[in-house]
Amino acid sequence: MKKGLVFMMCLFLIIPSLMFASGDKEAASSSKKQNVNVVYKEVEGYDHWLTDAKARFEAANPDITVTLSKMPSTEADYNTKTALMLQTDSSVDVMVVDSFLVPSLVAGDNLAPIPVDSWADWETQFSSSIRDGMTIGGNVYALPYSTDTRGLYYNIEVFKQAGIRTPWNPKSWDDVIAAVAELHKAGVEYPLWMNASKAQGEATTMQTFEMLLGGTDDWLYENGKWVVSSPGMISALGFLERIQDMGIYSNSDLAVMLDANSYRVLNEKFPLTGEVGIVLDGNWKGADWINALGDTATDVIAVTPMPNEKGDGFSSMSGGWTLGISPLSKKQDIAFAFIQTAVDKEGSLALVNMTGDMTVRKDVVSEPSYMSFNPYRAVMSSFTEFTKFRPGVDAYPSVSIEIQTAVESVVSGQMTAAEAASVYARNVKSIVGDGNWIEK
Amino acid sequence: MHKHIVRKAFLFLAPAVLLVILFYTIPMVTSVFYSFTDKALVGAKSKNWGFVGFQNYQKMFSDQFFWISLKNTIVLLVCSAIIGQQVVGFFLAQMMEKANPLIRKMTGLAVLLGWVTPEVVVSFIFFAFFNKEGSVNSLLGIFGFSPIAWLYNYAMLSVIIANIWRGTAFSMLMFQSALDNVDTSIKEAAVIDGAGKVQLLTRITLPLISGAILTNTILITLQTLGLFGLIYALTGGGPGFDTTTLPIYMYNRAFSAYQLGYGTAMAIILLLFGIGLSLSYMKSMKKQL
Repeated sequence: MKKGLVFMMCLFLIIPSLMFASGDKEAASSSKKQNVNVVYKEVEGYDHWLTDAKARFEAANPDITVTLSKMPSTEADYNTKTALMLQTDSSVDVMVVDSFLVPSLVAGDNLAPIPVDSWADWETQFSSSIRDGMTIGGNVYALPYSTDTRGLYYNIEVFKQAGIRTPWNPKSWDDVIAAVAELHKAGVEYPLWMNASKAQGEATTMQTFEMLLGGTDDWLYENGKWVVSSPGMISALGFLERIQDMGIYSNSDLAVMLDANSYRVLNEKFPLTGEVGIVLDGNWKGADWINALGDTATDVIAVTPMPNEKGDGFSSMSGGWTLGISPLSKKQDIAFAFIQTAVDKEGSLALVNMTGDMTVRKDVVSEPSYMSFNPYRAVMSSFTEFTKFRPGVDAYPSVSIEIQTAVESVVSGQMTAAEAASVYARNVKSIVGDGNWIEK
Repeated sequence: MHKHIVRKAFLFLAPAVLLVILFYTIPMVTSVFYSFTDKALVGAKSKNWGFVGFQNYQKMFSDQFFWISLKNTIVLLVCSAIIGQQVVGFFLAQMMEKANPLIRKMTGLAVLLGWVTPEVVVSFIFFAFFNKEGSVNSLLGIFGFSPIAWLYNYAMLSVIIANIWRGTAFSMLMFQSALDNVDTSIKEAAVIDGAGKVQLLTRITLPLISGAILTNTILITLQTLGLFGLIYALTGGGPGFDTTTLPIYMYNRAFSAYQLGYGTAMAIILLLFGIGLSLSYMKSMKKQL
């Protein structure tokens, strides 16, 4: 009996000490040096940007160390990870967050408010539209470090071989489809390359569907209500259906194009092998073309804005990435200090010239290297004139998944545009709840 | 004296019970609880969630993708586990009984390699095998066939083959040990009585190892019902919903569409499905015994 008791007591002593062992260690080391943990997505150029910021920050603050935690994951998984880590992982201080997630994270108290008033750059270097866009209920919860626009890239050499006149300036969707048909006739394997699967996550929603829907007379969210069905919705999915019906992709082509990591293949197929005619994507891809082709990039690949459906103008989408602070962090002040270093002029310039992203800082725009460094970015910066933003509503991420499901079903030929639109309408109604949607 | 023993028994059981409560009972009860709520992963509903009664379940039964996923789960279960792994495993075990020790060892090792390889690695192996420029298409190319989009046209078949490759070793081991325990004298007696090979198998061997078959069927059923990593990494549930099984759809709803309540409701249905299948196996097997 006694032995049993002793055993039990040992057990109860051992288990908690095991559980807290790692915590103790952390506490012991942090008493000497404070540590701030920065979690970020695996993106070309981020390593360089953040390592540089870490070095500068540690040099200025000798009693602080910065841990950089890279999360290799797909677009969709990274967002899930963001949501989970900000709710449960108190070791995270700073986190790279896709701007579209910010409103919904804030609605769940999963981002800490940032005292931007104590930071002079916020007033002086960020435009009022960006500052307003990042303000929710009077507070700022995430600091933007990049933005973007989207358009149509085309391969000039492939176009010439297919007998299409360049420079190519499509004025309507019919013009785009006509070019796609020509390219297909000329044997180009991927006449039009798009993100179009659930696995490609938000890229499918934004680079493909919203670029199309933005070119119609309807939008996702109007006057505080979700538009669950509209003629524009049918047109946008109908564009994809037309492409599908043209039979331009074989199933093996689709398997390649719709894979979550297909952007890696694209970086070869589009600039180098001539297998791709047109790519509907964001300005950051320009950096990939420059990486592949060097100075001759603009001789091979050009960019033009995505036309509206009926030729009454152009369509673009803008989003961007931000740095947020976890509400579970016990070092929010240090976290904010680190963010200031990461997105200061030097940090921002290093970042945007590595990634091809557009800057959100005024002093970086006026930097000569910013415009000359990346000719695609220079052209696509003007797309901000007609660009649209995603609805800053907390249901958006869930609605976005429904969009991806609809797009994939149509592009893979499993549903017609009308069928996919009706499934979308039904699911979105149930997500946003009665009273929050309209039909047009 | 008696009381003393009971108390001791409690003490000795306590650690195990504690672990079971901590890692099985509590999560299970919480899942049941959350399945009746509209809790979300992000957004206002992640903080201010409430009870919605059976709404999640109602939604599920009118959700066409749920039914597609259920159908896919059953196809995968029947083709890859109940038939595939079990039959291949049984015949491997049967053949290895008579094989010479060296071949027995080599085959055992080769089959086991599939079992010890982590799911994600298996996915990569089969991705390399089945993709457009993969080994299968290269082989076909030698004979002049044009490449086939395996992971697109035959996505479910690819998943089934990958799962058989990975899981057969388990069935093989189960059957090996069961066959080793079959008394050879019974077989010899049957042969003397004039039983042929087929009769020997169906009348003697199979009935004698039916206990092992039952255990094996239950175990691989539960393993396959919970299969996630392999499919997620190989096809991601696509194209469209072609390889979306219940665990994949559950993940998709809970962690991509951020509807935790709905996802947990689906988990509960999956759990009930597993329990129901296990019970029905046991019942049908008992009749035979």
